[in-house]
Amino acid sequence: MDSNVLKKGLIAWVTLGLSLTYFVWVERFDSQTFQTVETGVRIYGDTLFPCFVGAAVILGILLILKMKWASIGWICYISLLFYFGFLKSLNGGWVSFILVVGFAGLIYVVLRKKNHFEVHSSLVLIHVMGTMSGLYMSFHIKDFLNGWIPFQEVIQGLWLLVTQGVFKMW
Amino acid sequence: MIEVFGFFFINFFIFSSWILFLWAFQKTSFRDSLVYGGMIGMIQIAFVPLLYGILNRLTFSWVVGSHLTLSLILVGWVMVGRRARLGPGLRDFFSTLKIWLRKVFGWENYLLLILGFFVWVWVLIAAIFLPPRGIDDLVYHLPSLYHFVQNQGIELLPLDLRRGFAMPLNGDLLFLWPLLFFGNDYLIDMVVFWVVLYGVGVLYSLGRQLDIAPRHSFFVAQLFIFLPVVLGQIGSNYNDVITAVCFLSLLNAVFNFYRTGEKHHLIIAGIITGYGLGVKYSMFIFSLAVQPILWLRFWEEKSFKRALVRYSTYILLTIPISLYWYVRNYLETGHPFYPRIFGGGDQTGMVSGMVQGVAPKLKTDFALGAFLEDPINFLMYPFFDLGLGSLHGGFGVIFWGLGFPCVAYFLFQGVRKAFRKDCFPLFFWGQILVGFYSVFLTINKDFEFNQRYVLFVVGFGLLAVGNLFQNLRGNLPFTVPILKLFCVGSSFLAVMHLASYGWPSYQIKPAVEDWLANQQTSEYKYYRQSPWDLPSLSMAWEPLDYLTREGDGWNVYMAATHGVFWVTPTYGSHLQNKIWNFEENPQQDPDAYIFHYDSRSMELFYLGKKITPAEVLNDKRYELVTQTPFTTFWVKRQLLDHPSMAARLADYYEKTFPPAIQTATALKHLVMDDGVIVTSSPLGYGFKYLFLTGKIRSPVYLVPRNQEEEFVKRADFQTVYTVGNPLGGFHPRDIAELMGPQGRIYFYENIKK
Repeated sequence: MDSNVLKKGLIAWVTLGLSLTYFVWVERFDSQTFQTVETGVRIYGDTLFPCFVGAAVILGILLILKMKWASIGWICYISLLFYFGFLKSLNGGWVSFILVVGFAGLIYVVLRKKNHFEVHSSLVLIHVMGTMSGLYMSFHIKDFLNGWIPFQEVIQGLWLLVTQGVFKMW
Repeated sequence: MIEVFGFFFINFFIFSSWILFLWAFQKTSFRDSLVYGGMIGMIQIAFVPLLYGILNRLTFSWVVGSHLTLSLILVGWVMVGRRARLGPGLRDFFSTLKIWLRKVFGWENYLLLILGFFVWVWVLIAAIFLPPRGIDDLVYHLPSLYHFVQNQGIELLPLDLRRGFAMPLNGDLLFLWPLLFFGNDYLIDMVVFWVVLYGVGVLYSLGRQLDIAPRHSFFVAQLFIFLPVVLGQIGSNYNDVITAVCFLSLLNAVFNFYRTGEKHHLIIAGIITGYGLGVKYSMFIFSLAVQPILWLRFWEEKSFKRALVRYSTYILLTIPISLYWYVRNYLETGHPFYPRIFGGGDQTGMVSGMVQGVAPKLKTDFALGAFLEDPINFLMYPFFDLGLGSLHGGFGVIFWGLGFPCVAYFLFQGVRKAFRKDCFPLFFWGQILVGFYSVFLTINKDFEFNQRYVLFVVGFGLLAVGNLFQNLRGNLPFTVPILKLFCVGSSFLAVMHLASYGWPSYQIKPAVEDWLANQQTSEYKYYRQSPWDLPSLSMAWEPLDYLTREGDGWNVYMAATHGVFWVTPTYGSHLQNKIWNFEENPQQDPDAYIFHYDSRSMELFYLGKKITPAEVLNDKRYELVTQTPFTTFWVKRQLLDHPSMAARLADYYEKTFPPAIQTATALKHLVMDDGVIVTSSPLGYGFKYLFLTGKIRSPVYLVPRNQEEEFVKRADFQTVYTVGNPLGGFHPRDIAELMGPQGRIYFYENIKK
């Protein structure tokens, strides 16, 4: 088999597997459970990880058997499930739907205009990156946002220095 | 202020003279001269004090004099020997710079520069207002340096206390430079920031070697500053960033050598390897990883003799800069790699893993074993980002989300190219496997603290992202700004997140407010923002530093539970104090004592002569100054009796315990002049303040918790005032009722039966 085909197939498995898994996960568990690291991973390991492997294997076989590289474009569409899940976990509401439709339109335009291997390959890689980033942020967005109040205090400290500290030094 | 300008000038002189020299000497490109000059300058800053330390001449004048002389020689040589090249070269430089600036600057780089400037200001203010507070800084990085400066020579501190004292210190010697120059610890927390900036330059250079456009290269290089673990360490005295940047700099030189075959790149690579081996033992593994690239070049040159000569030169150059630490360890401990080759204790780490044999351990101690037992644990790595929110780890979303898949992609391409006999991409991107392999060999329980050991892998992640930008520019150009926007947003989040770190804390507001309100005592007060035992210990270090800033300093005895026996702040912010325990034959009794119990253990570790807290309590020459449930700080009464010291102590109490002073002032009319106040309550600080300022005449004795009766038994007091503890053998009478944090307490007048 052409190694390019194999490469793209592997990337597609990962993308799709993670996307589906993530979607099911987000749909199934509330954000409280999701944010608890140990619980989340245990649930993932016991239930969703086998699903991910299974889905990846089945899709991989299908891809190898019916390798038409335009299908990569469809994988990109399916990956939108991930973005939807991610936005949903952030309580995006109706904004999630609009954004996902927007992404879908974007993919459509790209695939229609530049329908060749390099484009598909890059697009899939970007989707993998999106998936990984989304999963990462799902775990840590709260950690990052927790810095907001202390950060405001830092800004206040700097502001005090600028507005009063300079006079004190003079 | 003049000192700061002087320091800035000397550093500028050191680095610019090397950059100029390298540029003029070998016609190295300006970019390479900048990167090499930066590294050689750093090596000079570390190596000169090392030499004088070995010779017991580690003084300000010798070190500064040597730096200036060396730089003058380099500049002089260029002026005389390469004069003809200087004029046209400078003109070229400015015209190239103009073109470069046009190529590099886009909206994304402006945004990151602004964010970077903000971080610089923040870290600078934190360095000035907050103490050195990375936990390993206090444990073993800084005590050795403080000791070197005080004793003007390099000595191995007692290994009974910390085996880490025997670690090689080439990286730590960079922290010694501002310490020696200023004679205080104010700017040592800025050193890593400059190393990070240098790392940006190295990554940019590597990006350009990979044919990534200047604008993309500069962008991904700048992202290095905003990775959570780098931000966490940016104001600390850890040497993980130094190790990582040193390795990337080595890779840059090796890459240059691979591309051009020019020997000066190999020489620089040898010098950097040598320096790195003296920074951290792990550099042995990392430097082994670049050897295949060197061998690849030798293989392509097809001359065995030439390869042998060149490789021998490289190996020989690695020896002198780090040799001292290994020889010292061999002579002092019998093992050059001490303490990394023994099992147990605090000797975790990858080298120990290798030496002990990994295979039998896989299923028990090592992270890789745990991962192989349950593959789900692999998820911990990319998504949990162990150590995030501290200086121990946290590679951030830019690495795990973007960099990691990209590296995997280019590594895969590297494997494919290797089959077509182009091995370089595989050897280049394959370095990341060495990084992860080595971290998997760490002890599993410490895994969350160990991501920082392989910090260099994030450099590969960033370069891979840059490479992707380059590829996408042709195919999907509109995705590049989107990805860049994501990176800028993530960088902002990471900077924001830094404000909530506890390991170490970068919160500057309380310190700034204290300074503006003239309530500042010592920056050691802000250990209260830190976790673990630091808040408790700050109650001893803060007054110690504040009281000893003027004068010759004190000889301080310390005893603490072994795990929290941290001596760095005991030296004081101006290195004014000595650790009594470190002296071989101390002639005089200590001036002060610090005893500290870990909250989990009441066992003290004694270094040198054993002097117990009970002995100090019974020794009337010493007086308790401050205490917490875990920490007590005692000072020789004779020292505190001096009027200026008494005034300073009163000032310390006034700034630190205003509520206690307020309450004591309200109660002072109840205290008769012929009585004494004996108390372990915080209210005692208020009474002590009133006594020191002459507002009451009754002597005040602070005692450890619930020791009032014990203390009074040894004295002949007729009337004793206590807070909350009526005395046996006396007639106690509650003369006032107070509301404390734990409820109602009484102020007693105890009259002897």
